[in-house]
Amino acid sequence: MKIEVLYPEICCLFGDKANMRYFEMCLPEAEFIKTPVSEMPRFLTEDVDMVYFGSCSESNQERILSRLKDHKERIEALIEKGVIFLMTGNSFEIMGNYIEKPDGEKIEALGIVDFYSKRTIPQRFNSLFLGKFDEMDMVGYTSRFSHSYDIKEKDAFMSATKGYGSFKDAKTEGIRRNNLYGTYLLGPFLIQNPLFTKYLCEQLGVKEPEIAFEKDVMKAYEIRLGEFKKDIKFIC
Amino acid sequence: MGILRYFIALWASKTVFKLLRLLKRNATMYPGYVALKICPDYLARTKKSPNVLCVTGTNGKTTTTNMVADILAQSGMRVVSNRYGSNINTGVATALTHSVNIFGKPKVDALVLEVDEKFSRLIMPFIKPDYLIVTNLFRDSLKRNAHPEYIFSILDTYVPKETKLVLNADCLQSSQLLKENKKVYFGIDKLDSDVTECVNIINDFSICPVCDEKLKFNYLRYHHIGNAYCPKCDFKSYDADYRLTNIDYENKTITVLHHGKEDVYPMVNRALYNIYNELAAISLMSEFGADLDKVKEYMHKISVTQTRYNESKAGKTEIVRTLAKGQNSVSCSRTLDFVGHEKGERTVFIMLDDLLERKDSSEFEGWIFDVDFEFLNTPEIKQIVLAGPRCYDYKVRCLMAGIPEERILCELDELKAVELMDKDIEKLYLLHDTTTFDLACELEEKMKVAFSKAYKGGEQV
Ligand SMILES: [Zn+2]
Repeated sequence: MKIEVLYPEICCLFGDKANMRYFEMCLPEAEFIKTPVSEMPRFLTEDVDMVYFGSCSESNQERILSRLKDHKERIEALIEKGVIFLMTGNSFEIMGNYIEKPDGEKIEALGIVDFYSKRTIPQRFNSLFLGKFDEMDMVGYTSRFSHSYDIKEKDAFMSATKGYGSFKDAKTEGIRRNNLYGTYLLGPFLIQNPLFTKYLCEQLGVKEPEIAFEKDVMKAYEIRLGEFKKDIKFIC
Repeated sequence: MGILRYFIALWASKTVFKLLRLLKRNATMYPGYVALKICPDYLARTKKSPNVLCVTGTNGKTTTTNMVADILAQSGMRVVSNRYGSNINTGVATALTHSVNIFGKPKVDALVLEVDEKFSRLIMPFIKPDYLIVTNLFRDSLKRNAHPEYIFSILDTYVPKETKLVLNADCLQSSQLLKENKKVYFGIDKLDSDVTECVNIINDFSICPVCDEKLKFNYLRYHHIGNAYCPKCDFKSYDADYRLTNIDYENKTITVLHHGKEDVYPMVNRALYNIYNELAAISLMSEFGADLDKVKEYMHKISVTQTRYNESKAGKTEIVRTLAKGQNSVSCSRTLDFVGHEKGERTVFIMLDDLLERKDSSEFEGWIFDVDFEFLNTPEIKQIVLAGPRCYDYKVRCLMAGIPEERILCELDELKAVELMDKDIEKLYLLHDTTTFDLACELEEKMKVAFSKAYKGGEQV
């Protein structure tokens, strides 16, 4: 099993690095390839089972887009084939049609999923999140300078119960196509959502997966979920 | 019209200050708030003192500002500073109110201001500092400060071109600021404890900004603090104009080399981050034209306030209570680095929950996964106590750092954690957040009772 972590030296804001560190502990047999910005992604030339992107700064997002824009067909083909793409924080925005800057300039994105994003710098949005994916309660946190709009229901990742969805009052959160999962939730997403982590392991072909430190990860998840289901402040 | 509004704002601000003082209330923010409410361009309109010196950056602002203000005051200058107050626009406005008389004429020789890096947008263009120290730029609270590049862009955009900068050559991030401005750099030469590969989780400047190649380090202190070069192009760290060439911990002195001349100064505080702050202050004073022999004398009288650090004794146990700023992964990693490298068997008690958020919300725990808990993975640390509602998040983080489960005590209730923890210990480090300071003091008292009870007459009971 081969998992490619893209540009970990820049796609690593807000605790996102922990996702793949943790996933490595869940899948000790898997090969994790960390591709630096100075190199071309390995998934362009070889088969991988999963690709991970984490949060990055706005300028790095543009840098990544300029790297990948000539490889749209390859990425599209991999998604069609069912390769897992996990994208946390603002990283999934590159999959849309364009990203609009506060001055109105539009940065062309990959156009793989039909939606667009709009930056609001210096206005920042901070929110807890409670939602559902495939009957699983999903929890997390978002902190960002942008929203995404026009995401079709068939392309949405999760339903949003509390907190910001893809935009302020959106009923859904993130994007999904086959095994592409993109979410604004950031930080240790896989650690905070152990049920989803197990689901991902299953998608990778692991039968009855056991995840690292399962007892304590589950305990932390249950405590957090309990708090999130109470009447607490979500927008902060 | 504008000028009338300004004077109304000034007088209102002075009146509000006097009233608050009379009522014994905190008067550092509200007088400025009132001034800005009445006259939104109050910062621009106020006539500035002949010298405006500012300090900004992620860590070390307060200490550095206080050193600069103290030195100038000792040299006989009349100084106004926002040292006891807020460092955002309202706090700066309050300081400006104090710096002029009721006719709006400057009545002091120097304004020394600590300026919040994020609020620089609302402050720097209007107060136009003559000198600005940027101590460093790191990750901070993601809610307020987003990421270091964002803060960098604010300073790079809003600091006036006329301002002379005093920058940290060892901070790869902030040393790249404001290419057009006049500037000097300060830096600390290679230390024995330096490395060449980053051991920290966070290094926000690991690739060459010109060609994307992974940077190499002549020496790396922590995170992105060090001296780097690109193996592919000619990008490299700036050379320091003020080089700290020697730290003498025994005689408590530091040696600074500038223009081929070495000067020895008293060491105000032994923590490396405070040595950086002192070096920044010395560099600024030198640029400012101060008599450096006098500065050496003044430095003797300066002390760094230690509200963040306290030592006490309970039975045979020595308790060290120290701040590890929550939500600030770099600052917290620095504290864990310190605790992890201390000597002897010890316990570490961690209570870094944000109590304010706990009241009516739930804290984001992403930041603890950027903190180097790996420093605590040493057999000399016999027990790590994780207390508070987020304790299981911390436990997972510790387990990921390879810390054996049997060394971890995880307890939702802080007071109960004190009951359950091992008492037979030589030394205890109690790490708290700014919001858990009061609770930490309360726990410390409880520990003193519990430890003394467990250890009567030199024997473990
Ligand atoms: Zn280069």
